[in-house]
Amino acid sequence: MNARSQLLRRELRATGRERCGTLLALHSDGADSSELLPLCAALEAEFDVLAPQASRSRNPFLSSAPPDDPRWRAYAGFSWFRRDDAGRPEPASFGDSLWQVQQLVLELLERGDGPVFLLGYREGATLALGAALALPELLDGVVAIDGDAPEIPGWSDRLASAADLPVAAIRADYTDPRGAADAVAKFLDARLGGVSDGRG
Amino acid sequence: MPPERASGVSRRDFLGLAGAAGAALATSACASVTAASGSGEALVFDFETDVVVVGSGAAGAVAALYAHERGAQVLVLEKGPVFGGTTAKSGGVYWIPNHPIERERGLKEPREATLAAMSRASYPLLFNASKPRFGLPQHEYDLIETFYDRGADAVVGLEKMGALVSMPADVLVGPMPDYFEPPNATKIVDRRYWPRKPDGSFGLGDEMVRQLKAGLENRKVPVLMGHRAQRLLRNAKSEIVGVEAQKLGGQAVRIRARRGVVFASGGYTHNADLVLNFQPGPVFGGCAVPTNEGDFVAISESLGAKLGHMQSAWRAQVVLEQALQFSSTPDDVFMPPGDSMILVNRLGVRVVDEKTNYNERTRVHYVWDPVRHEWINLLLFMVYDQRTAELFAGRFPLPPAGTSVPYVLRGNTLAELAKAIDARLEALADRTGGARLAEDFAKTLPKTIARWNQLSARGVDEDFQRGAGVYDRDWHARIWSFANPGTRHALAEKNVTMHPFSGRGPYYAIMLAAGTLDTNGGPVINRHAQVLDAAGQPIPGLYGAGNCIASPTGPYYFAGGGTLGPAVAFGCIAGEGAAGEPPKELA
Repeated sequence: MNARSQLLRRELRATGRERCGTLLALHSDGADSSELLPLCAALEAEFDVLAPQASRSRNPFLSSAPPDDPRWRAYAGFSWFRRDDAGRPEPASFGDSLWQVQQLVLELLERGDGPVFLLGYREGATLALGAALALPELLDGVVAIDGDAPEIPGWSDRLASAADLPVAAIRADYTDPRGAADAVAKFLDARLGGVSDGRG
Repeated sequence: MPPERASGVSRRDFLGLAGAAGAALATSACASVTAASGSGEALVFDFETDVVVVGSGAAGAVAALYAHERGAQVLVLEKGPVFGGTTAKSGGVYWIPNHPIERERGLKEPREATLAAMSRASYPLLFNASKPRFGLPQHEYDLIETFYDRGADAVVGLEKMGALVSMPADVLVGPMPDYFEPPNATKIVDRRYWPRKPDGSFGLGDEMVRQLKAGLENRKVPVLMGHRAQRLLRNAKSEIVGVEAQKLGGQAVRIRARRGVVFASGGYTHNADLVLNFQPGPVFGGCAVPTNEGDFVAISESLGAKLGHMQSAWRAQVVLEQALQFSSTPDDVFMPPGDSMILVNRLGVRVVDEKTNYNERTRVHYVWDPVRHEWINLLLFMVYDQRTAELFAGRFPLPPAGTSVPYVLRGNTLAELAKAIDARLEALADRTGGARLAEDFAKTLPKTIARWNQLSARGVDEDFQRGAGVYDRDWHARIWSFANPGTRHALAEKNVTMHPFSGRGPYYAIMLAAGTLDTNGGPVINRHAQVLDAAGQPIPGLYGAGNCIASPTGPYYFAGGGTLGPAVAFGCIAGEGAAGEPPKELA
């Protein structure tokens, strides 16, 4: 297959000469691939942006509905995984999405688009923190906005923390993820100072 | 890469943690039922209750609520980590004939005519309007009649219990037609219902499950999550007296069921062995939750249960590449969107009315070519032009404007498109039995499109009758292919589902394969929802409902909600029946 991941995505290419890597942006539950583009655009550093969209429509009936149709707005959006009563990710759907993230990261590295930084918001932050646990050597940094690390008995408790991978957990209950722009920029700028060869 | 921290994500490991794909566990689950206390094995129980319900989807939750309503003490076992089974992922629509809302609206449900239409839809080969039971055998007719007679009561009863508030599903865009069209029908009667949210708006499957779950919580009905039923326990009289379950990552738990056990544990979509042995051909994916591995088939077989409709499923097309990458297919192709769009097989020819309902349309994948010795429609290629890509962008599986998705293949000409399709097929060959385009596909496809352009210019599909029926037109124009605003393209006038292809590229293709919402075969029940043995006698104390049993409406999908409607009706009957059983002795 000429693409590892079959996720739908939006891609923005850095326009300047100072390209410093790719931001893989993971949206929140109920949003879509466009959600984090304004935040990414607000960063001064020049990143390519790859914003995939979770495959699971929250509305299996009308996944096609234009989100601006008021009748259907309440049912729009996509989610990365299901949750149990305690709010923990359901393993199978979480594993599927984590595998997709891995494939996207590998795709980026294979075509020379590293270093790769993960940026996740809410549910996307939980997925990003899961990737930090599972794939630390493929990543150069992870920014998690308003999301918890995944707790999956039998999996997350068996993994060591990603001690050598810089992770920023930003918590402010942002209603608009752009509110986190300064904190995200600060973390990424610090990381870029330390990135030389694309491998952290 | 540090050797101790080998990077990688094993989806199979996650499946195991979800309670599915447990190969070792599956083997033990196939063991025959335990010897009863009369045969020497001491029956020691961890819990005791009147009725055990296995599964927490619509059928199971409704059974538990009705068993409780009948005064029984109830316990629910759920194999997965999330309450609600496949219902929670679904559209949450239930098809129910003769609901009081119909009568309030002044519609008189013609009982005989509706029963005739249901009988004809379910068993077209047996149907004969002039014969008793419309020509159906007693058993098959009983189940359809019972669904008709009891379905509305089941839904109304839930409303009275405060466990599920319903509203007509036609609130969205008006009445929508059923998936079968009775002859001489003059008016659309929409028998689909939806859960009503507290704010008055409609809810989907997750809302249905939220309400049913709250109903169980209000009644303090315990639910054991992560518990997989693996065998039934019998006494010396061969009556069911309990269930042995395996707690995920833990030990076996035994629950005594004084009165009865209801299975509502879903179909077998995610059991590769059962799919291989029973389905009529390849199944590439399914929307059922990954824990739907057909556990009840092996458990009931060991009791001598009669199996039925094992070849059947609620069918739906899926995007091939998506199905190959997900443990539970995220979305199905309800209706391929577009008017300048056709489905062709590997020969480059059309094979079906692209707009007919998903259950029927998917059956066309199971056409065997005896000369070529192959499933000639194994994969169907949804071919469309730039017009459809723009006009209907965002209707799954078409990507919205500004996005891209690798499963969309593109060519500036039809010849280029054929090359792109074949290259993708080559890359996937080890997972599709080596499927490739026929040598003359690139020559045939332009002829097929030329023929299509002639037909659509006239607005009449002489080949497959696309758009001739009200289902095609209404579901196309009102749900799946209404035009995006601000488009430069005009809609077709003569037949809204048909438009000629542009003479200029680019052209696109998406590969579709057969999938399921879930299978719907399993042990056969009677009109009381009792599971029958091979001789047709009820197995004492054992009931079933939902997708784990042989579908009471046969292999046919009446309408939106044709899955959940019977699940609710027979869930109610099963719960009441189990609660009404006499207590069973252990010895």
